[in-house]
Amino acid sequence: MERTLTDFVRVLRNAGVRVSPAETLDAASALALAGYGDRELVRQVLAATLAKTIDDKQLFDDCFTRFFAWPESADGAPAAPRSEPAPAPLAPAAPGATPLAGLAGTDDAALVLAIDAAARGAGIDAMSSFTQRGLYTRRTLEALGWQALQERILELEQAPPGAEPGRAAGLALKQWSDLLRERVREHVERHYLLFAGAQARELRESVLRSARLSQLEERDLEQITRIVRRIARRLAARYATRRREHRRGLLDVPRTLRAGVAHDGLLFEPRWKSRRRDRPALIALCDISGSVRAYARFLLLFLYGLGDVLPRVRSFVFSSRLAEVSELFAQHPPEVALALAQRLHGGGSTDYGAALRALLEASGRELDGGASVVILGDARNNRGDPALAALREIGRRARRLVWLTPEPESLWGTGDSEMLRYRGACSEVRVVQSIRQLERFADDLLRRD
Amino acid sequence: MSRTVLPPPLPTALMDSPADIRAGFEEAHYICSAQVATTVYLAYQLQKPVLVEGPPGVGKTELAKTLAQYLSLPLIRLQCYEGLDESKALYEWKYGKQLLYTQVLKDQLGDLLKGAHGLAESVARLHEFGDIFYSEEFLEPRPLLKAMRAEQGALLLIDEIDKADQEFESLLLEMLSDYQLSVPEIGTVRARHTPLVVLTSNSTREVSDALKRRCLHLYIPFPDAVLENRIVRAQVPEVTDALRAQLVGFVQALRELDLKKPPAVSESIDWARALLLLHARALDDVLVRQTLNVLLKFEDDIQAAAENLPALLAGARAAAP
Ligand SMILES: Nc1ncnc2c1ncn2[C@@H]1O[C@H](COP(=O)(O)OP(=O)(O)OP(=O)(O)O)[C@@H](O)[C@H]1O
Ligand SMILES: [Mg+2]
Repeated sequence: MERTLTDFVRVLRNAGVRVSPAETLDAASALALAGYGDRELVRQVLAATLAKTIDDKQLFDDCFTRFFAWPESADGAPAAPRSEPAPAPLAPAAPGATPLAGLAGTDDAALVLAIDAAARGAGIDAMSSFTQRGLYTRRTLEALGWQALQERILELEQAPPGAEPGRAAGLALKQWSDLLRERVREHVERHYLLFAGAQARELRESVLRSARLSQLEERDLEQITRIVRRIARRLAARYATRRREHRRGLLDVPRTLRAGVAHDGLLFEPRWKSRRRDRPALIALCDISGSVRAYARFLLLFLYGLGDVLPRVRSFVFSSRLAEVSELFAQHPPEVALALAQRLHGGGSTDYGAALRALLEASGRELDGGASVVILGDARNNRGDPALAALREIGRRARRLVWLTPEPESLWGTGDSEMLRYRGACSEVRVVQSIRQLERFADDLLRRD
Repeated sequence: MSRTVLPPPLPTALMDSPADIRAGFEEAHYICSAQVATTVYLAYQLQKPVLVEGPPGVGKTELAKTLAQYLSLPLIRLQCYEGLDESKALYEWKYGKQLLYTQVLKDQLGDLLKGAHGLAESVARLHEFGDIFYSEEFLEPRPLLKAMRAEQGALLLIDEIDKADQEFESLLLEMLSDYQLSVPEIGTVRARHTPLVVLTSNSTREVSDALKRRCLHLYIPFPDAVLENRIVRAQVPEVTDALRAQLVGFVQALRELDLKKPPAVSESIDWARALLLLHARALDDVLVRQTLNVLLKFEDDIQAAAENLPALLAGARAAAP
């Protein structure tokens, strides 16, 4: 039982559910109380003790279904978990001249344990790709004593007529050994899916997308970056087609009339509206000081990942001083540009006031040309001058001014946060803490444009 | 984690199995899923607090009330809000009373200090009496302390914990892991009987991991049609089977729309009552339009529902043969 539970906890952790040792102990005492007899009850008990957010419950259900699905009993219904001996003898009680053949006819649970042990012995934990499943199936079978089993079958099959145990037993054992190979293969595949496979990765991804960006660990960054790029590509594709349809659809009446003049007013040169106008820019201003750096990184990844469905992006970063980084992003892939921006312009104490004034000066022309502005930061200004007037002017001249902050509304205005004062100048203030929220923001941005 | 020996819970056969709990709750007109019953069972048997999350109106608060009633335990409720602090949650000194007593006793001071030589001796004498002002006499217990001191045990409901500030949670941590509280002036107060603790949250913010680790966790989603049907029947038994099936079908379909605030169970119940008052036998277009504001609280939502009315009604009728 202990083993089953700890294995299951390992699966949960693999899928991204955070389970503490104390919670594992709680689960153990809860199971001791409720027993293993009723699968549905076990599910409820473990859900109450191990999965403590709504996302976790979802992941938990997926994991539970897959983990406790095995072994299937003969009639196809899911059997009790491993520790509970399932009364499903798999093979005729063939006399065992090999340790493996000795397992034939024992109960299912014993067999499962034997396969599990053999697979571990065969190093299955090191399995890293699905294509290795044949290899590990073979190794596991070998560890189980496959060779000896086959020899034993051969021996029985060649027994002289009338001998006991004879050919019939050989045939039965042969069938059992086929079944066994099947079971081992299933075991290997399931193990891969549970502990290393694509499904586990998918689950994990879904967790990462809703996790707080500031709490992600270094080792998650690479995966998140990939996720962001993929989402951005998907969004870009979606809006690219929409935009094209739009462009073709509208008849430009004045231009068509004008073109008609040349043909005695007959309108046989229809002119279509094109949205080729100089597209207004999007100006992004990101605080890259310690507290919010992680968020800036992903916002910029998003904006540049969206490619040409988004209007021209001018990006600025600041900590103590403002710097434009559009050039960096034009010349390098986003990750490299980010690292460079960080190195060149990070550090120092955050000064929102100075950054806002400098931004106003640097982007006056675009602002009047209908640019939208996105500011990302926690508005924690170290009690310096917030330059509220500068922000108000940006807000007035920009088509839209959106402020993204990683801080929940309850923290606005506490300590050195200027968020409450800045809020009035913005068209919108949004709390953005996860990739999912960032994705929603990008989606809105594209929809409005 | 230091684990103190917990006082025994009240022995009761009412909590022998999740099935018993489910049946008992049903008699009290609270209809719950197996998951709810199992979690309550574990909370009682393992003496662990439960954190209940879910959308508004799915019966989180009602669950705690029902449990208290079922076990005949006093319900002690702490409603959380922004700015909730120790003096409102734990205890407060009765300043007024302390002040009054000082005034009254001023006259006695002369007698008390008679024969004392010098300041030091006077202060020493006064000191002996100072503690009186910080004794039980002057202590005003608030819900947390009340629950710890309840003679016969209690059900402590900490409602809408997500509304309180995060700092408030750290106050709860000590209490929830050891069922004891320290009051600096008096010492440690240990629970006489382990209180059953239910916390609820509407998830407007994440409750801290530390708190979650100490609790069992229960998520109550909107009920499925079968469960909701039984809830409405328990609460408004006068409604006919046919109408109930229709109205539940309608509400279920409504929740599939993209609404600002989908209708809660409590709204289904209110709607059932309203339809009963109107002597309705079956749902129809006019009736639904008239009463939609019982189910939906936002103008936009009402509009969205009105636009989809034919489909919703068809779905509802299909749900009820
Ligand atoms: N399972 C149920 N059985 C019987 N009645 C229920 C059930 N769920 C909800 N109700 C009814 O709905 C009403 C609202 O429930 P309750 O106040 O407990 O919801 P809540 O989840 O605490 O909502 P909120 O998050 O808004 O506080 C209750 O008064 C009760 O009558
Ligand atoms: Mg409530």
